[in-house]
Amino acid sequence: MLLRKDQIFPFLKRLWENTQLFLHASLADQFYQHARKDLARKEDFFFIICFGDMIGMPTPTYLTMRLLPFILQDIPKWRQRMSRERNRFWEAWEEFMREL
Amino acid sequence: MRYLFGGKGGVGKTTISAAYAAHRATTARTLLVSTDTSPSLSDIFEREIGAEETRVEENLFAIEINAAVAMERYKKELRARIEALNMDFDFDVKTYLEAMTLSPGAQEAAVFDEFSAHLLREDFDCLVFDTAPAGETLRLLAMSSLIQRWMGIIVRTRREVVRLKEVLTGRFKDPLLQQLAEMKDKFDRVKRILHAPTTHLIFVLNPEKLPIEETHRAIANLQRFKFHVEGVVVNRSVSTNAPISNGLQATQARYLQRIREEFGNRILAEAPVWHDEPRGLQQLRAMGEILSTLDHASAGRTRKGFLRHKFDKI
Repeated sequence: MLLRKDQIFPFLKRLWENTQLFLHASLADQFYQHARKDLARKEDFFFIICFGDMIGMPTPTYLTMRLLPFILQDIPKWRQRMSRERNRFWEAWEEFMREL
Repeated sequence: MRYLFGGKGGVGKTTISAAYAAHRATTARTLLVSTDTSPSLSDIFEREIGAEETRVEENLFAIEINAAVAMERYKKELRARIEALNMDFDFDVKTYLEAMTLSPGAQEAAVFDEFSAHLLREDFDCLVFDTAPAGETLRLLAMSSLIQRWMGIIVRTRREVVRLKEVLTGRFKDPLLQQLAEMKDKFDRVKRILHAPTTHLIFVLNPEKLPIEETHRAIANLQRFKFHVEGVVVNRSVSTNAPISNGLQATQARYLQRIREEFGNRILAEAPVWHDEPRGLQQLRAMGEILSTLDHASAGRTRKGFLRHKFDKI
């Protein structure tokens, strides 16, 4: 016998977890990836309409400054993301290749 | 009941609104709010009236909205809340707050914020607003529509973000959405109140060419934003006063005729030139008697069919 009696249950548990991971990666992950991308896009949009001033877009920020204490921890990351250089053409090409 | 007095600069908006507030204060708890950036309520009541609510008389309260004071209060509150978070950030929040209150439009937003806070007050029977000259009032009122729409977009976007976060991380409680919903509710109520039949937008004008033209333009602009202008109050009319030079009377007679033709039954009251400048409560109340026709301004008139044919032509 490869497994002792007390090793059977942990083994089955690990097997079940790995099966779950495998199924998740092979079937569900692409949907989650989509959701994450969607979330990033929507969050960026939300930031822009609330605090556009930070990246040079005039918005009536005076009123949305009320939201600042709730969202302050996410702002540095967002600003980094916004200031990164982007090539829309390249992004579109990648999207197109992925569709294929 | 809420009354908003607007009009060209120098036609006597402050005098008319103070007189009307003094008149209303004899029967109801009244608050007079000046949204002008350079307010002069202190001069008219001959006592100090500041950014804090001041009791002028038993039933009459007055306040001058001060954008700078409001901004300071707002900033202080925000800074305290951010410090309470006790977090480390790699960008300077304090400088950002300073910069935002100096940016263009912040002043107007502050005035609008204060204005809407007073507009929503329920602890007074009658609110009288003495607004800034026509252009700024227009922007203030138009802003209510724009901000309400903008808030709608923000709330919708945040809801989508929260829904996606729930999908990705399970249960997700968002305190920001709560705050946003409160803000949206506030601006929705402001817009609803501004369009309600108990809110009266009244323009003050003099029997002169320029105020008449400006009033026409302002009314046309407000109608674009679907605001209902109750009518006009003619101020400084000399037709009823005898000891005034004939030349002025003749000029005014011409323009009074024109006002009667163009505004018809939307002339709510006609205030004469006072024998002396109306200053102090006694005189203001006497003048307010003349404006008592505004008490039932919309009585007997339906909201929809108010001389629309005439004003649509402008």
